[in-house]
Amino acid sequence: MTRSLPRSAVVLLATRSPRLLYGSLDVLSRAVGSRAHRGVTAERVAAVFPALSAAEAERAARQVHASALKTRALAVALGHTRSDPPYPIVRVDSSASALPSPAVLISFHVGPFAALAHVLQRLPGEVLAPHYTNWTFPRNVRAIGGDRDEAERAAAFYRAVTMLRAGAHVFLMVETIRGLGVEVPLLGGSIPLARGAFALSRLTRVPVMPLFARWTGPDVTVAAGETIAPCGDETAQATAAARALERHLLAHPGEIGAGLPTEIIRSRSRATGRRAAS
Amino acid sequence: MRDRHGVAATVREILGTVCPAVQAAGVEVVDDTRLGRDQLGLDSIEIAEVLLACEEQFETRIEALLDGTPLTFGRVVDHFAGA
Repeated sequence: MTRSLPRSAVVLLATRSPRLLYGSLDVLSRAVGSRAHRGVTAERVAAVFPALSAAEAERAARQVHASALKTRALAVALGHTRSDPPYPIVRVDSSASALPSPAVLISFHVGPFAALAHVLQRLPGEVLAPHYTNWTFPRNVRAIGGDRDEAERAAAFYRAVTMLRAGAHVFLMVETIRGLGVEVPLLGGSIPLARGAFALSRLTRVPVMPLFARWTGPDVTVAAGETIAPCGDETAQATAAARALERHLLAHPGEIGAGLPTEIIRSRSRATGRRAAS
Repeated sequence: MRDRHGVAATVREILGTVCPAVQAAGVEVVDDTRLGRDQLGLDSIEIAEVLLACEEQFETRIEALLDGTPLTFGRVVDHFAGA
């Protein structure tokens, strides 16, 4: 739906009046209805969160749609601004107000994760963010390419280790890549989590801290999960990170997005198939 | 300058420590052997770990190796041998 909005209008509103932009998209998503958002119906939400009542699942499906719409608008705004990044109004929960230093800060592709940069810009010193994105970042965030090829990824990892050992922060989005990474439990199914953040923690003995951004109406609230201490066991850390994600999604099912429900339902089917075969 | 044979032996040992599967597979590692998935089979994290371990062992920074060109065993050995 944001494709039909003039990009310039999105950027202008995001810069001048973010509450008007994101509040309007909330109204728009309610008017269009959750059927417009591919794949995420109340039935699908209920399948992922069986403890929800029918009314709660319906409300969560509407929130998934609204969240996706606002998150896409945010991405458009960040991708087409060359000056200070136009973030929404971001409230920082007390859990995220004092982050350990240094730390490997992680998040997942749920909710308005781009708004986490607002938190990063308040950190002392430089923050390294190995990413491949066209977003404008705050001045203290050094985004380095890490997605093009193996050599570039190795270089990005090396630089992240160096930064952490020097006492700085590194911010990583934890990718879910089927066939790679560590398979960990999530919401009755499982997801594969890329190892990078946990390997960094193992090598530098720096803790991992999950951060979560969610829409609260036209604004964004950022909260932190429990600190995951370095322990030399990447699987244990990845499992703890998934637990933090699960707690966040159980509290805010409307932020789950479109891709994760599919992944979880498929993983449950695979597990059921394996049990039936054995 | 360090003895190239000695450096090569140390780098092979580090490879075996970081990636035991490589050693177990008995893969012959020569100068032209690329470290990555297409040949020796290391992923980007393993490549970085090997380089970090070599950096610590030889007390030599590795930035020059991270110029984007594919890493071969020979390039790594030459770098730490001071060639």
